Amino acid sequence: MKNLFFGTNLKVTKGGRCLAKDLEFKIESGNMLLLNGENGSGKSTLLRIMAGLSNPTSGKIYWNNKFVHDNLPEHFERITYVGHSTAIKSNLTLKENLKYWQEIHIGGKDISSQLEHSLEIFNLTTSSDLPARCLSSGQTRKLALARLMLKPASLWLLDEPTVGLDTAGLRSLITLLNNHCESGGIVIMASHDEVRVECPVHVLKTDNFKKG
Amino acid sequence: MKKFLALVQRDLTLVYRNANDAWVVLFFFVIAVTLFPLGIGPDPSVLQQLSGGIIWICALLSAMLSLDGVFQSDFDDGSLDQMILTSYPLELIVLGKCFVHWLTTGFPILLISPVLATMLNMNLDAYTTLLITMLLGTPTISLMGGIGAALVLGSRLSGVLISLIILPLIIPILIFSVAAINASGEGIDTSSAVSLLGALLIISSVFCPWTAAATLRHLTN
Repeated sequence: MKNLFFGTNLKVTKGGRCLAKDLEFKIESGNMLLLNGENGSGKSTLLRIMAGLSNPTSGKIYWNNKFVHDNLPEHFERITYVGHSTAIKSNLTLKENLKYWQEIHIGGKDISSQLEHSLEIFNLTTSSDLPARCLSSGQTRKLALARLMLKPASLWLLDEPTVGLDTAGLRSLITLLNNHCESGGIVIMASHDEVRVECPVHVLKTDNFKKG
Repeated sequence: MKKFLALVQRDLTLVYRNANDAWVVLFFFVIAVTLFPLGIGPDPSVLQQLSGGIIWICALLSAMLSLDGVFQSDFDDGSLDQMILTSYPLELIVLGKCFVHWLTTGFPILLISPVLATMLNMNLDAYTTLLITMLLGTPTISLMGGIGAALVLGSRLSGVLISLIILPLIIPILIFSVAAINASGEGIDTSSAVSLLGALLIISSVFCPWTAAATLRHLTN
């Protein structure tokens, strides 16, 4: 089934300051939307709005013609959001971090093989029983991205996922993005780095919607 | 239910790995109570009269020490966003966090309070009432504190601020608990005060998670 995710007339404000207005976007299954723009041009805020964490000051977001903010729990089921903050507890081991996330998001279904696999993809298996505070910042980012594997979400919202990643990590991420789009998923990503993926990529320049 | 247990287990693991926070509360409680006989003199009858009040006031103050941390670390590292982004109700997540707060601060205080009551020469008949009021009152503090903890997130003087917000709200708990303890010491019926404490616990277990969750949603907006 083809999914369509789009927003119309969006106004993005932060701290009372208007960052972008009359912003439109439209993306369908199998595609990737790249958010581009200067620092502070509202990319992260826009991603939070798309995730349903924030409300747009005006405008609406739709999933298959249904207003997203009307039924947020349903929207939360279909998204995985990886933000700036990694949401990783430094006192829990890597496995515990992922396991908790898995349990709270998809229930107690035992898919520990999936968990092992997600650690393996990002080359974290050897440190899986270490507390997360022992990780470097790049590894922490990888652990946050490993969560993408654990939930069958159709919409991925990634805020600067490439920051701090090494070449191997970046390659793993690109493989994940390719597979996700190939299986009919949607990726929306804010990034300053060049990410070469095989799926069709649309670019949204947030600078173009600056006020005035 | 399984998700709720997973949440509680994770929070308990975090407290266990960072056990200082819980110990500090307990030791503060013990030390604060111990200061009273030293400050007001060792007269057994005076201490007996004041014992209920002393224990309860110290319990309230020590509970304030750890309340501001209930959501702070989750707010700082982005876990709070992820908690909101589950289809699992945030209200239940908040309830779980308040429960863990009670289990790691209120419950130890409850356990040690009879020992401190002995030190303050509390009337033997009042021990049961002390434990009952603690059992009903301390969870209410954790629940109401959850609202305060959500309100002060991200502010600089969060520890002090939360006391200013929450302490006035929990005055009824103090009044009814101490009234019940004093009454049972004199052999008077305590059921009305105890029922009111129970009512407060039930009301706050319904409304506090809801209010705190609304505050958290608003805060991340």
